Amino acid sequence: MSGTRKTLKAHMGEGIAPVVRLPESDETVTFTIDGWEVTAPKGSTILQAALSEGIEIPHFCYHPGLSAAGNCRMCLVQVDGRPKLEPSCIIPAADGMEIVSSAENVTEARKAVMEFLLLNHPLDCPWCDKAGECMLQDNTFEYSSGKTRHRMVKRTYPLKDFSDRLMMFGDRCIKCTRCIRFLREIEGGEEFALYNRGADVDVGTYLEHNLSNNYQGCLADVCPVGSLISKQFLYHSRVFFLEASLGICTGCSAGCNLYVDRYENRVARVRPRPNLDVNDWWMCDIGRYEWDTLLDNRILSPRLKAGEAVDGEKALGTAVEALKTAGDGLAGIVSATATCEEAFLFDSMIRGMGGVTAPWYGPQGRIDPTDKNDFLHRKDPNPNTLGVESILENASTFDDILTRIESGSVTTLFILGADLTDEIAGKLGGVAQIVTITSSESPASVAASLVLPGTIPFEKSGTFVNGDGRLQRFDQALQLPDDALTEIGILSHLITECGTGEPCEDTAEAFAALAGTVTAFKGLSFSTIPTGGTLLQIRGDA
Amino acid sequence: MSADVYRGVENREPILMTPEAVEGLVTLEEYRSKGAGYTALEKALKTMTPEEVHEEVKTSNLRGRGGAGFPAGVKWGFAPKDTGKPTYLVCNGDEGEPGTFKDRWLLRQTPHRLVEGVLITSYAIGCNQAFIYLRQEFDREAVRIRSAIEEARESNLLGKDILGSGWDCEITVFMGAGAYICGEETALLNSIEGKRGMPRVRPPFPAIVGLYGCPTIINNVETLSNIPAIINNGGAWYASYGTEKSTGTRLFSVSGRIANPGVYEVEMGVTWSALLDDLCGGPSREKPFKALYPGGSSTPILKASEIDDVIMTHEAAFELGTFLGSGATIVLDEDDDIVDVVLNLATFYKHESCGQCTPCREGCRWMVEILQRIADGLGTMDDLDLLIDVADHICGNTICAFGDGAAGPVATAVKKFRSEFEARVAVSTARGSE
Amino acid sequence: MALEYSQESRKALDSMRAEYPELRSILIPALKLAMKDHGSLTKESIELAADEAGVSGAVAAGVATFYHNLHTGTIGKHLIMICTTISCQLAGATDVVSRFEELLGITIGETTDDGLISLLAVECLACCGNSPAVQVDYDYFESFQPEQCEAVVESLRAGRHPEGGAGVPGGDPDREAEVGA
Ligand SMILES: Cc1cc2nc3c(=O)[nH]c(=O)nc-3n(C[C@H](O)[C@H](O)[C@H](O)COP(=O)(O)O)c2cc1C
Ligand code: SF4
Ligand code: FES
Ligand code: FES
Repeated sequence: MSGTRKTLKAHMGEGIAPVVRLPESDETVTFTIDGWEVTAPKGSTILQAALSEGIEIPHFCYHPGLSAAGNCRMCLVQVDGRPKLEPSCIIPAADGMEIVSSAENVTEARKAVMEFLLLNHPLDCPWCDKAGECMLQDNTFEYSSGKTRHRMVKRTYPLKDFSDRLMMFGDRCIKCTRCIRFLREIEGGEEFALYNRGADVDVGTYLEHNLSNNYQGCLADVCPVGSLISKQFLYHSRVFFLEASLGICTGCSAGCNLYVDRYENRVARVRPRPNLDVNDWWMCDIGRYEWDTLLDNRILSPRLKAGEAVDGEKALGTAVEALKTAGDGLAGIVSATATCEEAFLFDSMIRGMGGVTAPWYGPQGRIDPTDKNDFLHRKDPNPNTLGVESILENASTFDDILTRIESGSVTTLFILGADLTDEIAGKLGGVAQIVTITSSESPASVAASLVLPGTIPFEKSGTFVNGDGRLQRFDQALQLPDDALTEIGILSHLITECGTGEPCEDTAEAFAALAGTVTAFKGLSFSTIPTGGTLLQIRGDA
Repeated sequence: MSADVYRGVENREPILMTPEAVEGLVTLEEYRSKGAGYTALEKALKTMTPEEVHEEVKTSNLRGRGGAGFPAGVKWGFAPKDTGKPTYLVCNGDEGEPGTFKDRWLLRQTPHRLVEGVLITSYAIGCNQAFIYLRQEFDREAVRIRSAIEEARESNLLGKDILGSGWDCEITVFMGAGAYICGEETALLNSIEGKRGMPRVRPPFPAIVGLYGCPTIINNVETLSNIPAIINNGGAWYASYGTEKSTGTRLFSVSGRIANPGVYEVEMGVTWSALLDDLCGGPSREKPFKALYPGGSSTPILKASEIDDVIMTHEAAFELGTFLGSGATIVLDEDDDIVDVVLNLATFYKHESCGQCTPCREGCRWMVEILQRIADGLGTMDDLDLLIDVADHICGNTICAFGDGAAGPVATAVKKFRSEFEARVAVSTARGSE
Repeated sequence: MALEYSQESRKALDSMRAEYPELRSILIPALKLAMKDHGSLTKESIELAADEAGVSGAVAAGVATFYHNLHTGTIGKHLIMICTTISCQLAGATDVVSRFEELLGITIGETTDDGLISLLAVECLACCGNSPAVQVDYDYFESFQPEQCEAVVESLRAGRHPEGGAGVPGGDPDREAEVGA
């Protein structure tokens, strides 16, 4: 056994060992890497097996989500004492193999690869956005001499501006072809190709720089260096100043797992968090680049109709009054964007006071949350359709409630998170009290007699059930002002005041109450939901 | 072509360069009256099972003539049968290795013999669709091959139910588009598939996952041209030529500073001197030989003194740290400057690298940069070690053997002819101190 | 307006399609025919070939820029390709290059202003025994001497394939290079 076992450094800012998808096989193979025994399913490559065991073998062109290209030659290892080194990303592991990854000849070959890669590299880390999560930079510490033996002019490439999302600093490109393989194998397109040959090889679109696919952010993700750069993040912040929290994308019912990277108390970017049961290593550009629409038209303080400001305590009091005086004229509408905990508390509150609740899916109505637009993005724009539906007890439908409204039998309407449409809002004239809890302006807030400010997903924690029935939790990324309440705080207050339930301090308590009531959630607790989520026994769409 | 000479085998009939072949066995009529005339194909189809054909070729120990020298019979055995997928045969006629021109000779002189070899091999490996890949510059040679295919088809030697055997086989000619790397067998497959000619990583090997994802055997033009004779005369007959491990005869393309350049067929195991002095007439400029690339520009250079009394076999070449490669011998004499020669070839490799492997892509360019400044009198002594270092870092670390072929000869040349390199550097040192 | 293939090329492509199990195999022939019909490969002609072979323009461009004989830069009606690799270099290829440059008034890699002739340095043509080797429109001119340059240029200017090529004995000496097929 030579030296210490090399454990994984954080690559690509993953913060944890890279997620590797091992082949499915009942048989296993056992072999050694530098004397350390490794067992993996039959069919695994040496590199896959090593990474899944947390053993570091440096690599560039290998990406766990893509086919192996074997072109960077960084992952070379010695196999069974053979003099010629072999690429560990290609060679299948076999029983009894003896792999040497840290001998001098192996290190020399890797140092040579680093030297070759850096010959023409601009070494512009000080203003490169990738610095801090760059595989080239990481490996330079271990496999580079810090000196150049190159005396000639460096090869350069023009900047390429592919779209309003992506650009390319070709001088930094190491021709690993990850981007080309991502498009071809995952996204399904052929917008990128290799051009020319030998030392003149170039990568990108042809002639016109007109990328139009919905996964351009992933191209920046898979780029192991700072060549493909996401314009939204260009010169935004050094990655090592960012703090990541676990998020779930709210763009659709896929529920892609995210890292929400914040700088101070602002979101700097979101990026996919690998989850082999949900989004693999990917997320779409809608989720990645359009989250900032959540920040538009924010409602930050309570108000009465006609824009009349009201202080928080008075606003809550007004809401309590509305509930208490509603009688059988009470109805609730909860958006399928609400978290499970919010939906549960809201439904408990409405039912506790004798009303009924209906889900709101958006102007387009309900869309099967399993319907896909492509390999990832779903047609249902709601992150929690199945969660909300499984929680609402004896739910009504929105159309039923609307019919009742039109017939004048609804006097008090509570709305959580739903935006409604101008047309629907126009029909609410007959409802005496409309209390809307929401984070941004919409027809539902304009029509309200009382508006209570809600939060955006980054400002709270909670759970969603994605289109496959997978319960996933997310953490709070941004701090709220001290006196601000989340939806859970508001709902808990109202329930307590009305005397229909116990107060919930936080999401975990709300989840506990939910788990104690709704069958599908039985036995679960917020803090023990696995980071990869857990499948619920609920009926999806037939 | 001038010197299409066969004189290599004492008292034995040549196998490929028979007097009739040298004259040209172009039409089916000629091939029938003066050559094997598809008798081997008929023999195989009518009297032999595919296994028996395969067995003969194994017995012959015919080794690949494309560069690697891998035994053809062994290679054929790698293609799995009954995969439910078609098996393909691809004949490699890309002939791009600098110094090599024997396949072109075979294509021009004996196109039917190649077609017959392709058909017999297809029969042996269970292939119904073979491809002949020719470099685009063999435009006129392709005419020969195409008309041979058409003639064969008209005589029911190709196509459906060949010679009433119930066996079908088609041959398609695919023309390259200018890329040396497409001679590398997996790059060649990509090229037929309409892709950039970039070699594939192995495993999987092409015998198992080759053209269109199907089992595929790739053999050189010369390798396949030997098959008819082996079937007609038997594997043992073929193995009686040459030495135990290097059987048969081989075509050598001899060029450079040689009195009579050309294609020569020699029995394996004769001395280098028998080829270069006796057959080729020695040096062309009355200067002594200085060095030679024994098997093409990708094979490490030998000093002339190293081949004294050495025989031409794979094993003997290996002992000298080099290879017989594609049998392309490039001879240099005392007046040739090694630095210029190495720079010329390094430039070739820089142009021809497919560019996917880091060491080959960057290293080939770097070697040219260093060699250029040495040639320009701007090099330093450190550059010589740097050059060896760069070459060593490419060798053995790439997807395909191109990297070895590009770098090995450079490192060897600097090591063997260091004083010549130092002399060029000394010029620059002197100039620098003026 | 989108480009189209000539009738002849279209026929060639249509018959080729059946020869390969995968459509994409006709990409290289399709690019050659696009070049034959429309001159050096432009974005439009690359896309023409790409459509034919069922691949994206980017992929076809990747292929077009990989192979030396698929020309994306300016290219003349006739090609004079001079081998400058080792055996030909030893045999005096440089003198052949210089003589052609002088006669045509261009340097290697360039095309005459009238678009008639491109002068290209190429790698080993598999003709090293009879070096220096030159190809004119893919016909071999072996052991080529600088004195022959003038006749080659004159015939090309006169619209004739030069004499003295290896051609195919018995074949048509004026046969145009069979691009693509
Ligand atoms: C860079 C490179 C170029 C090659 N060029 C040729 C070639 O032009 N012709 C050829 O037959 N083999 C060439 N080869 C060898 C082929 O990869 C392959 O080994 C050969 O075609 C197999 O046929 P054989 O076993 O009959 O020799 C080349 C190999 C490499 C690595
Ligand atoms: S060694 Fe060179 S030619 Fe071969 S695959 Fe690698 S880059 Fe391409
Ligand atoms: S990671 Fe194995 S060759 Fe690049
Ligand atoms: S070196 Fe010129 S043809 Fe081979």
